[in-house]
Amino acid sequence: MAILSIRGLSKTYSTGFWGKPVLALDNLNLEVEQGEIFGFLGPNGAGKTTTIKILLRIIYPTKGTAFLLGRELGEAIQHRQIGYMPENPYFYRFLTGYEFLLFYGRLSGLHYRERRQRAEELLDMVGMRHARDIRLGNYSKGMVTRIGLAQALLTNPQLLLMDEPMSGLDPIGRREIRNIIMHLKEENRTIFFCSHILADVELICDRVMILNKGKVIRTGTVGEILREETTAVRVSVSKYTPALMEQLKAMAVDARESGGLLHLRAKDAEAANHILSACIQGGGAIHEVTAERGNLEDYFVREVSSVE
Amino acid sequence: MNEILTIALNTHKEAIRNKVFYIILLFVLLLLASSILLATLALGEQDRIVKHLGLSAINVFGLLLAAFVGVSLVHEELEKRTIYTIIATGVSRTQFILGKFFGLLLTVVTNVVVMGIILCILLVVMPGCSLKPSVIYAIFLFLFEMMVITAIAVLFSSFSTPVLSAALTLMCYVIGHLSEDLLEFAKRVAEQGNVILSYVLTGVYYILPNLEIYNIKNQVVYQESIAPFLTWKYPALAILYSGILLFITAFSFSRRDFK
Ligand SMILES: Nc1ncnc2c1ncn2[C@@H]1O[C@H](COP(=O)(O)OP(=O)(O)OP(=O)(O)O)[C@@H](O)[C@H]1O
Ligand SMILES: [Mg+2]
Repeated sequence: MAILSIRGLSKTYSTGFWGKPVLALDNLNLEVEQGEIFGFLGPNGAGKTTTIKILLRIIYPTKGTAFLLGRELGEAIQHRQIGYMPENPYFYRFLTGYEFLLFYGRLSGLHYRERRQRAEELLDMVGMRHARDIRLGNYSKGMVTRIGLAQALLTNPQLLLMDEPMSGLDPIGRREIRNIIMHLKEENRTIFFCSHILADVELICDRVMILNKGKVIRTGTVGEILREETTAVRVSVSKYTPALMEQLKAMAVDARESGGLLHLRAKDAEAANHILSACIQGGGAIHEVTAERGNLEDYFVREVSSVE
Repeated sequence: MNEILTIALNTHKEAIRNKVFYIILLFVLLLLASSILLATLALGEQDRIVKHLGLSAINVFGLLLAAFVGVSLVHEELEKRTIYTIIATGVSRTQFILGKFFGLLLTVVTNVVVMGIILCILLVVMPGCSLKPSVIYAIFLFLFEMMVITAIAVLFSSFSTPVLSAALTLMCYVIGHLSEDLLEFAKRVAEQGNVILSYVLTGVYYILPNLEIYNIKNQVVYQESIAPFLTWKYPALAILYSGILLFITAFSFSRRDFK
């Protein structure tokens, strides 16, 4: 049984009396299994936040339904099993970090001792001990993100819905959050992760879905998507003559000279073969051959713009 | 229940950490201080002056608190989207509205009670003044009026901006106190042939609560009988009216998409 299952979910926003309705989500289907880190990707306005808001019943779907931990939207649900980290720091500015965690702990029904203990644990876990008694209004963006993560983890939820959890963090912070997420995965928790910071997604997500303008463009594992992407081969050559250089340049899609080396980019493996044999015949020395590792970002940019 | 209480306590905390709260507090303390000053000048009138100014100060304080702190409470949660994480913890929308209402009511009540105690102490220690049960009853009745005003503030702030809701809340307060004049006025308008306006005014009379029944300041100051006000009906009416307002607020809240 999937932990999260979305079936035919659509959302149309009505914008005022005369406004044109906005189709923000169009027949979304997906399943997330226990223990998975599922990357939910898409450019601005793709419908990521809309999806999460529907799952949390902050807004209501126009069509379709979803099941969280086996319960359909609208049915009584164990809210403690679900953690939510909002997109931007939508938190009370007048509370200190510690008070903030106690408040949510209490709302979630944690008992007096339990919430105090959890709050302290989580302050350490997200590296916010130093800001325990500072009001959220005086936090930096990254600090708010961290305390927001602590809030989401208060009840040790089975399913975590994270809406761009890495935004506003420096590289160190991003790595820390990534480690926390990986740690949660080891505990077999499920993470639904919205983002457009693709480097992070690539590192931690098992499967991804790419969404644009409310429609699914692609679903697959990161590996699958990147494998298709990995076709180009880089060849570096030394000891080449000007004539050879001209010949090789003509065979490559891209060429660049630096430090006595000629860096060539072959379109695919076959093109790389031709370049290599021409190089050997022409008396050049092969310095390095590497398969170009595609990254999700290139794929993402291409896929999203091809739809438009 | 735990949810409502938690939100109420948090709302109370928010209110007393709000700058507006201290501005209103300062203003009212000045008003109280000036009443003492005036009373020492006007020999023989101390009792009336302190009672009149004291009760007025408490009224103004409660009203401003409910109107200016209260109206932003729900709206701000929607605007700043703090409501997202609240709803995500499983709090229902009705619980949320009730929590906001009781939190604000808690702030108003505790403050009115504290000011009331200050007034009572003043009446005991100031020469020429005397503390009568009627003063305490006046404060008690006023708390019920505040309950209605708080419910009105929560209703308005659930769908309009703070400035507009503050204006509307104050308007309800004023009209609520002119309620009987309104009916009188409606009659006169009808006699003049303006039937539509008359209906509108009569409609307003029936929709808005008559808040004068919670105001016994004059009776207290001039030591008239407060017997007609000694009935459980008025407090019960306030509770009923607030309940209806909260029901409407919660109902309109329940199917809404939070942006
Ligand atoms: N309350 C609303 N009223 C009208 N339209 C809305 C509302 N909320 C979102 N939209 C529209 O729905 C679409 C999807 O928005 P959504 O916030 O889900 O995008 P997103 O994928 O989270 O984008 P981002 O990466 O910028 O956070 C957008 O076109 C947006 O303009
Ligand atoms: Mg978003």
